[in-house]
Amino acid sequence: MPRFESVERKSIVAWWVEQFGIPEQAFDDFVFFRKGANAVWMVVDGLTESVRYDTVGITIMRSSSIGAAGWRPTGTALQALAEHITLNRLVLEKEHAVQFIAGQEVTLSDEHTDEGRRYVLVCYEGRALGCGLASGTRLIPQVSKDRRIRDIVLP
Amino acid sequence: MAQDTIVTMEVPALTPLYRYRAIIPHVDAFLESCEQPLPQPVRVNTLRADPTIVQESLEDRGIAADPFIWYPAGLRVDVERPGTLFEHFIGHIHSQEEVSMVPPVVLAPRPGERVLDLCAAPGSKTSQLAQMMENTGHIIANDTAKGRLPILRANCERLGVVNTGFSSYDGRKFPDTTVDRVLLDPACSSEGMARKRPDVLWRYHTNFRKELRRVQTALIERACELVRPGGILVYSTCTYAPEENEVQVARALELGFELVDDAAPSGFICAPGLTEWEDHQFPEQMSRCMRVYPHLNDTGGFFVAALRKRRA
Repeated sequence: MPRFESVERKSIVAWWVEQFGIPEQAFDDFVFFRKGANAVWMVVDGLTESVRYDTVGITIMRSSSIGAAGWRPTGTALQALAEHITLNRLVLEKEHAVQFIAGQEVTLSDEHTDEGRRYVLVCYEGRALGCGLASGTRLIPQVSKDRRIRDIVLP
Repeated sequence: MAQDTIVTMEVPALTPLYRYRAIIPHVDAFLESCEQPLPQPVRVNTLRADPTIVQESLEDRGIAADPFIWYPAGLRVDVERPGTLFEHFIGHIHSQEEVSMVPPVVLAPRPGERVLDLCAAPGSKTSQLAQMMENTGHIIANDTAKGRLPILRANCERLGVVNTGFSSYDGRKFPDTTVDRVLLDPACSSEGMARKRPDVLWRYHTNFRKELRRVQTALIERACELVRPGGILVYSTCTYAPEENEVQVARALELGFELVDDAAPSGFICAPGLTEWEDHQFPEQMSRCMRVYPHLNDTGGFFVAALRKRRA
């Protein structure tokens, strides 16, 4: 058996539908688990009963004092679900994408200032870069230190 | 350790490989090749990207990228650190030695199947299996080294692998279950890595090699029990030592498995498995094993055996 508790599927799926506009059916093949109160994992249904798993699939959300309903998405989940995401999607120009990948705060143009503080899927040229925290004209990359790359050469 | 250092200074670095002189074709080319640096290829993550488009994107930035003859998702790239490429950041490529892409291709898992990767860290082969299965079915990625689970998970997460669960059993005691296919790529004496880490040939003492062999035998015995009748077990190592290869495969043959014929990927050059070594005699079918020497495909050294479990 997994070392996980099942989580209530409905509320998890509803959060993703509401925050990122992902159609509910996109989650049809998946099951969700959590370990403690801090993180939710998503994996294709089909775990083996006799196996005691340490973790399963990918982490899709973590508890957060800032995010909606106490959750923030992981960059991994936003990348994995990118093709379905229609809300809270932010497209960067080349120069800003380079800063984002290096883990540096990006200053956005004024057109974004009306929106409140929120987690967004950050994209460049149709490719999903990961998760950012947008607040007015500020975009703070949620890219872990070991994933950051300085002075990346973009296509 | 001090004693090892003295030895390496007095004899040629490749001396430990001389015991294979009689079994390696074109042995001079082999020894010469072992001293060349290893190319650094990448695998395109077909869960997210098309190999042709990745190739074009790299070439647009002046980075030469050539697909392997035998595997279109493998690219030889002319770049020192593939991990710093944009395609790596977005999970479109994974840095992986060419020869390490062979065992998953030989295992050939299909979408929807149940697959066990018994010694999975750092997850290059696991994530390759996932892309071959189109992220469906289920993979159990197990590794007894709990400290290596984070890197295994991180690689799978970056590449968007969602059909995999991770466990940390001693593979010899993996719990009862039945799967369609098992990949067993256990710890070995790693002689085939000499192009990447020249000191590897001097690293392991006789007693440690004996212990490796003992563990390999117990692992293959357990793996044999976990495969369904008609299912496939692929056993692979990155060593030339017959004691860790044919001798181990012989145990699986005793346990109701047969070697699959013509299992090598088309276009990838392999030497046949040995039918005799020192005082060992193996069945004729042992020649169906694949011995990969560096000079044959300009890769590291490897051994792969594809075994099918007989139906009762």
